[in-house]
Amino acid sequence: MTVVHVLEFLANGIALGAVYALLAVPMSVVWVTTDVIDVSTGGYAVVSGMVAAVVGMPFGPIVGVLAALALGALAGGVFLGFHKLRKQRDAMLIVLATFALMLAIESGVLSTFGTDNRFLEPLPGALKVSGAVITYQSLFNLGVSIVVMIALAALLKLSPLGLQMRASAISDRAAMLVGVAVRRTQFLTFVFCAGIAGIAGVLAVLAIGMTYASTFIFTTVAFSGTVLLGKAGPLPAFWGAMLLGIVTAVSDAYLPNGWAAGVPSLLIILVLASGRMPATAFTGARP
Amino acid sequence: MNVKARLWTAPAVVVVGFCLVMLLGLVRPSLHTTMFTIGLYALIALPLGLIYGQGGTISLAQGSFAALGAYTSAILTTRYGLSPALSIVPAILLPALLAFVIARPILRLPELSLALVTLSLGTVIAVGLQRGGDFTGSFVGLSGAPPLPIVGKNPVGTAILLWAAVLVVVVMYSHFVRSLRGRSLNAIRVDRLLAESMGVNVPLDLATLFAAAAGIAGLAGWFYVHSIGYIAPDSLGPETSASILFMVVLGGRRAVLGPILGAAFFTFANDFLPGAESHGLFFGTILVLILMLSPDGILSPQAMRWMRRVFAGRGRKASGPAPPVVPRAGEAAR
Repeated sequence: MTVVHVLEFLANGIALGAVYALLAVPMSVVWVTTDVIDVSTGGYAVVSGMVAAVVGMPFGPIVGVLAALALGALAGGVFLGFHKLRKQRDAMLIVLATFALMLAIESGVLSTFGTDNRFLEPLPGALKVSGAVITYQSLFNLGVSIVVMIALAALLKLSPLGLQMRASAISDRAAMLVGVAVRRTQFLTFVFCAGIAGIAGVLAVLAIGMTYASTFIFTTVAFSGTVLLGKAGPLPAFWGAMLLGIVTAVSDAYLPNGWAAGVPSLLIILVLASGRMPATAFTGARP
Repeated sequence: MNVKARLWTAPAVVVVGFCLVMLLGLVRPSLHTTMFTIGLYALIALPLGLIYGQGGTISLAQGSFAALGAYTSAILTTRYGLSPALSIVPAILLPALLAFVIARPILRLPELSLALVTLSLGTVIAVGLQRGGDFTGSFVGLSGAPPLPIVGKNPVGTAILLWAAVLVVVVMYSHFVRSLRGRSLNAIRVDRLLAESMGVNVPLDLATLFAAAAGIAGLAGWFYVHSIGYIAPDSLGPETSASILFMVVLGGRRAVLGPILGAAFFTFANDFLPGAESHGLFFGTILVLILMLSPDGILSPQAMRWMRRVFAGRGRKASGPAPPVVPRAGEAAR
């Protein structure tokens, strides 16, 4: 393996990881804020990407992200519905509902867009760094991912909505007692995070293309990135997804053809079965 | 209704329902094929109903275990010339063994992470089957599997054999939930720590049940491959596991007949809904509504209690008013 190969793996992996991060981070934000794993995260990305590909440039990405936001609102509505009907004691029910929503989204995408692989024309051109070829699209993906992370960090640390999200994440009861509109905050979290996943979908359709079957793949990738470093939260999810991107790029190069598709799922099994994630991370344990 | 009568209610319903539909099949032969499909799904869904509904342990790998059983039998019969009557044993044992080995590290996980781990396991199995080269037939799959023993390709005989297996599983399920082991399983669902403190060997019990569920799914895979004569990675996999979960949740995860009812609904809906692409939209929406409005499904414990009250009430009306309670000698009347 030469230095050029290593650089290219790293570059490809980081570019892929940048897209994965925009899937894993919203899933982790919803998780810490609502105790629910939003299994339909992959669906938001696919709908956004498909709509962007069909509408085309320059408005396709905007329309795609808006479509993802609408689906996020639907998921948020389902979440609120469970709370309204007082079925929220079992978080598993809500997770199953998001799973059902993912199936419905996948079916909707198949019915509307068919089975064809969709893609948008990526940014042309590439950079050569020490012999390694790095496309401008890869750099763009990385740039967008970093900008979104900075914006998210600013939102969570500085904005009223971000502070309310963090308060709801620490303790929804205490947050309610101090006057935070917890359910509205959680609903907006679903919408906002669906938007981030929508941006991931647009980047994915530019970089790698997608089909209706990408729904489940993206959800697996999102969850794998979320749990890989053994901690729940946006920053561990970001770095976990970056690492996952590099591992996937290396696997693509060295594993037999197609086996890399199983890497995210295998990592989920290894991380969770090893006990690295604390059990309380999944049971909604609150102070 | 006394305990013994309750034990045999579910099997009786299965027998009566099966006979009625098979009789209708004399007028409409396609019903025999539909009964085969329902029976296949029921065989995969019933163990999930047991481990999830009674034990609180969700598994989204049932479809993949069925695929493992089907592939095992297909490879042994097509490549090594083994008879299907003999390949049934490894078709059941291989998924069961795999499930038992991986059970320990994953069954101690909470429900949510267990669901995701088993879903991921199904994906890894699917990728393995797709990339298995000539051994598994890759994306094309394996064809030429010999027909079922005794019944061959006869649709009526196939349905009878399959539903005989379903009946055995229903009888075992009914007896199990009312046994000491079944009550232990319920205790595990309610509180694992309390169950352990009461002497229940939680890891062993769950691992055994998980393995049994995988083995029964493997049996369903055996039926599938030797009835259809063909197996591919897409035939039984993560999508099937998702459908099986839907059947269990819709029909009623706590009721013995719940998974069968869910399988019947799913199969008939598939037959009557236009356009295969939109099925997910329909089932996904139904599942969300069921989870919100009746999380325990159609045959929820409340619905079952209501039915028992209605039938008990009708039984009392038919036999007249209850006789007065006469205190025994020496007992004061209340």
